[in-house]
Amino acid sequence: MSEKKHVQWLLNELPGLRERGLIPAETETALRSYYGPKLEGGRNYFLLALGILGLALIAGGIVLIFNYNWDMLSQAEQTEISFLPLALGAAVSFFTLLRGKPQLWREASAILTAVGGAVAVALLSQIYQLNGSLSDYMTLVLLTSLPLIFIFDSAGLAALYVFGMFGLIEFYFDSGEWLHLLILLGIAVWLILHLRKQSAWRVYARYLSLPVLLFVSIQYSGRGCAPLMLFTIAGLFLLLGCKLQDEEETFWRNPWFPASFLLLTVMLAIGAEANGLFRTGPEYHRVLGGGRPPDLIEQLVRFWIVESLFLLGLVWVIIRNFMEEKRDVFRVVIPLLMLFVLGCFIFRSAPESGIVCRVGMNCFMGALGISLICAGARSGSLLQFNEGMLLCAVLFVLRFLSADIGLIVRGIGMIAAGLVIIGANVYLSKKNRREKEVCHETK
Amino acid sequence: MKRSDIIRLVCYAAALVFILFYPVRTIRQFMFPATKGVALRFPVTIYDPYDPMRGRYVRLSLSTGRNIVLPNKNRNLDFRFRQKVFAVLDIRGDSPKIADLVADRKEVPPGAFFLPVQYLSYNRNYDTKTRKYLQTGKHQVRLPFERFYLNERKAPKAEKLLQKRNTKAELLVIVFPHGVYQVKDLFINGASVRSL
Repeated sequence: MSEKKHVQWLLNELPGLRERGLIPAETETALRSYYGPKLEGGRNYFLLALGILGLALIAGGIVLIFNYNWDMLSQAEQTEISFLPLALGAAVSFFTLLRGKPQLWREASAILTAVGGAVAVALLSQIYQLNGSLSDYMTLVLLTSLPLIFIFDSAGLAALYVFGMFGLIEFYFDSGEWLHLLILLGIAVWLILHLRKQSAWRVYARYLSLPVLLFVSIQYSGRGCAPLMLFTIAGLFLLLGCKLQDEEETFWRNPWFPASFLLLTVMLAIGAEANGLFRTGPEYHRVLGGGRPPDLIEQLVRFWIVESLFLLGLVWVIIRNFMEEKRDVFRVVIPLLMLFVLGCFIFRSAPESGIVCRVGMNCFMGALGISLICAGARSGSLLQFNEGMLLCAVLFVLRFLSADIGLIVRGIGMIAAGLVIIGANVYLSKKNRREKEVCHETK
Repeated sequence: MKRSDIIRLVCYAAALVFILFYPVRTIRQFMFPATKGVALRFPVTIYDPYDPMRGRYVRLSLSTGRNIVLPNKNRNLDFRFRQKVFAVLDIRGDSPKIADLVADRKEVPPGAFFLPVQYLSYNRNYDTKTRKYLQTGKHQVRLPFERFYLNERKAPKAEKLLQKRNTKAELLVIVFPHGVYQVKDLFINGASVRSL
């Protein structure tokens, strides 16, 4: 048995020991506060993932078995059978809650109940020949699953829920978007609760927030101005990623930083090339002669509700950084870049705004890249140095490819850029190694 | 039992009621309808695709939703592609026809039977003499029933039967007031497809 299992066993024993009067309540609290943190952070994600996959396969298999010769059963029998998975989920859930079973049981209870509900709705739609869209079905399934995520604090069901949210996306005409916003807010609350330091699921929640952000980008950014929302998301999560870096979280425990940095690089690259970057969404419809969509106001309201939340978050992080006097490259450049982006958005209809925005994006890309290279070389941080290198390389390729120069010159230029990146990395790694050796010798 | 688990138990019971609400309402609606519906036979053409989880079904193509001429609304109604609208039915003839298209349920005349549909397009008429498009035209909508679930051995048989000439297929739908409908049966040359 591993140490964690010993600790788990001890913690499970504590209520019983207290009830028998062997230990006072204070001792139980003290032991729990001492041993509790030892259980954090080291959940076996692989086993959990296998468990979720297994449960999903079992549920799928049950559906297929009942599907075979389904027609031979009477309508009443079919209806009764369609509730069996839900009944199984309910039985497991009541057993788990009444017996105070551990988290694995709670995960199973949540998933079985949610899948049972989904199966019941799917089978009833077949029995009564009800047709409908995937989006309508997923809206119902997700709304009924949401309470279960909170009741059982189920990370597995939260993951299924997040990926199920992609079934809500309808590219043509969507009438149930207010419900979709509710579904999104529900999972956002769960994620925020688990992003706090004391939650054992905090790293998991960081990873799970990425597909949620992807969903938000697809579902809401196009309703208004997609680049504005994407820049805000990249800026906010880059600053949050910087905060996690300050707390000395390792690379794999901080997915926000690489993801948001890549998004920012892509957005800057698009901005450095596109002329009418901020003229998107409803304006785009008008340009194409599609006319004003009938639900334009609703679309814009929904866009601004989501965008305002991100902007408020960004402002809050910037103010906190300012108060704490944290001034590194990202913390200085991101607020300036966001001011520029907002300016570009507000004055998007002004003449020559497109070219100003494009030149500005080039400047920001270059400035951020060079600042990061300098900061990385000074502090000996290879990660920071290569972030700067990546930005400079992308800018170089963009400018270099759009310039009117011959193939041979282009080839030589690209080889030179590659050599600079490799050479700089080798030099910096050697420098870091030498410094470490000097440190060891002086000790 | 811990206090937090008691709270969870109460919340779970409430969540279970919430989950059961829609299925139970569906069963109630179709097994014990409050008002009597009208049985309508829609002419259809079918082909049989395969759903990996729900087995065989025949996909339906309904002519009722195509080339709709609305005498009172013989113009572009400014509905968007895939917008949910309501089709008011004219049930007087052999097969039902769409008599009107309205955006809001409140616009449906009292006592009329209607179905929720998806608006597809408006095709303006073309005058071959003047070689110009006219202001009048025809509407296209998608009716809410697109599939009919069958035993996996029966679906290919049904499709094969429909490939023969002069085969007539009809979908029996019970339309209740308030836009609720239930696909009851599929008839090929007057015989139920379930008896194949």
